[in-house]
Amino acid sequence: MSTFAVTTIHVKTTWAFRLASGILPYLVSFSALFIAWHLASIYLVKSILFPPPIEVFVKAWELLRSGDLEIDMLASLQRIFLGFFLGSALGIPIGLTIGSFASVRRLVEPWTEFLRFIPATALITIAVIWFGIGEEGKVFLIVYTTIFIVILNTAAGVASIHKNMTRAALALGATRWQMYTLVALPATVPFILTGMRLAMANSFTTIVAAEMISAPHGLGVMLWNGRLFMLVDDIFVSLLTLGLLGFAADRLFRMGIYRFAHRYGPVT
Amino acid sequence: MSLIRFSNVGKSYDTQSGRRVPALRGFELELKRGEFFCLLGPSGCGKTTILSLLAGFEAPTTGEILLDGEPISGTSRDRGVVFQGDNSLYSWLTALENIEFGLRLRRLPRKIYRPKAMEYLRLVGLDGQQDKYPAELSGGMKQRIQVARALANQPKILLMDEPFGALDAQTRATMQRELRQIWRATEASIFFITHDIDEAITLGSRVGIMSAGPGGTLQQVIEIEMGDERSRSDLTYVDYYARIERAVGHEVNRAGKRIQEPV
Ligand SMILES: Nc1ncnc2c1ncn2[C@@H]1O[C@H](COP(=O)(O)OP(=O)(O)OP(=O)(O)O)[C@@H](O)[C@H]1O
Ligand SMILES: [Mg+2]
Repeated sequence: MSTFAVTTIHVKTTWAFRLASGILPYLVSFSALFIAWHLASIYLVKSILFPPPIEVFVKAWELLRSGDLEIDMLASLQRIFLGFFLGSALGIPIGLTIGSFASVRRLVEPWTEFLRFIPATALITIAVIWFGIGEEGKVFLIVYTTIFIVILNTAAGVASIHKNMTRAALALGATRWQMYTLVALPATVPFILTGMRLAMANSFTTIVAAEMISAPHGLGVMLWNGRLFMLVDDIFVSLLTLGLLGFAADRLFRMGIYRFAHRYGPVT
Repeated sequence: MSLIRFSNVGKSYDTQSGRRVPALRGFELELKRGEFFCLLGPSGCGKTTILSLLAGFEAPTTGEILLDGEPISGTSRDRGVVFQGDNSLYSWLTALENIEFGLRLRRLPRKIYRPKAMEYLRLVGLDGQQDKYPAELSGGMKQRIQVARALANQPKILLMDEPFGALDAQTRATMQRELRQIWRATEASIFFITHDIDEAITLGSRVGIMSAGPGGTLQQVIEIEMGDERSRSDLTYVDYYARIERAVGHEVNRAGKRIQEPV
């Protein structure tokens, strides 16, 4: 009886302890950030162009209550995730193929090496001309900003597979297709995931530029309108939300990796 | 008919500096079905090169290798390979999943390959370790997985490249004993590369000694006429050791001289 009780308490404390020690550093560092921001805007800059965090929080709360912030968030997130997953879905097989076949590499690499130096923001006009001012153009820019990083990381991952790993599969009778799906792909998973994490950060950066193209809603739209109408609080709410969403998305992605891709030895 | 026949096999590599260096020259050998052949030779003489050619990873520059009378072209699952080092294991698969990898490639149903993989897991003495990943296993255990993975595919011949080279003396002795037992039990043909004279005499039914490289070749083959109980204190054993040591020592000296010679 007593042993059982002791064990339960022990489990409970460690669980609470782990939760606290997991969240505590974030609480501390975010609080420090907001305190520094507060001090800077009250004592250092003293301008209506740099509102203190409280003011921004109040504004954010207002926008949340009215539902406007939610609409903008969802609009942006939808574009980001559509583009991000589409870009990854295209980039992974391209990267695997480039990495697996020297002939394909020689054919495709000039393209990727050329295009990846043209930033997505520079393609806004092209996106408008090609896709118009609808959703397609914006998603295209996110796909564009995602795909090259994913291709590059995936191809590098394939190149790093040890020769004996490939040879072992060949000696066991693997076909070309099996080499691709059962060796190259799983061996490359850590590289793919790293590429996708970098691409996700890129997507959050690019969304602001993408929403310069006329859009009814979005965090980028909020930002540009804020500039147009001098709504400084709105601008800060948008920035804060972008940062927090990006942070949360990356955390979730890492948790997902840890939960589902642990056996592939990912770097989180 | 012999299982494998090397006739005048040679291999040259193009180095990064653009030179062409011979790694193996005029290699002649016949391997019998069911024998345990040990290939012994100083470092750099071309042992791994022979294994690559035999496995079909690379093609010979000269000569040909026949398997059951047919020239070898490319890899096939009738030649199972145990690699030097543990880089060939799949880190994302458990011990059992590594062992059944070859069976899965054949698209056998799970209810056939699972029990079969378990059987080979037991054969190499890894009972209870089936759910561990390679990173969670010791060096000796990883080599056992490699052996089981290759055997589960039931190849005509098992090619092993210094498989116990990185193990401590005790583990190595155990693995050697078990490999002999497995060889007896499965009647597999084994082509075993080593640089350890003791290992060659302990394991082999024949020992091939290579001349110093680069560009080495087979110098001499010695038949080991001893039973399964091979003790180092046995007079016959001591005799074989002395004979082989003389042959190898001669080659090591040659290799050493070559390195010391000013170019
Ligand atoms: N891919 C390669 N490119 C160029 N030279 C090579 C290549 N592989 C092997 N060689 C050369 O061929 C010779 C034989 O190499 P090999 O690996 O077969 O030796 P080994 O007998 O297995 O040596 P060790 O006992 O050290 O493993 C060496 O001189 C080596 O430098
Ligand atoms: Mg070698």
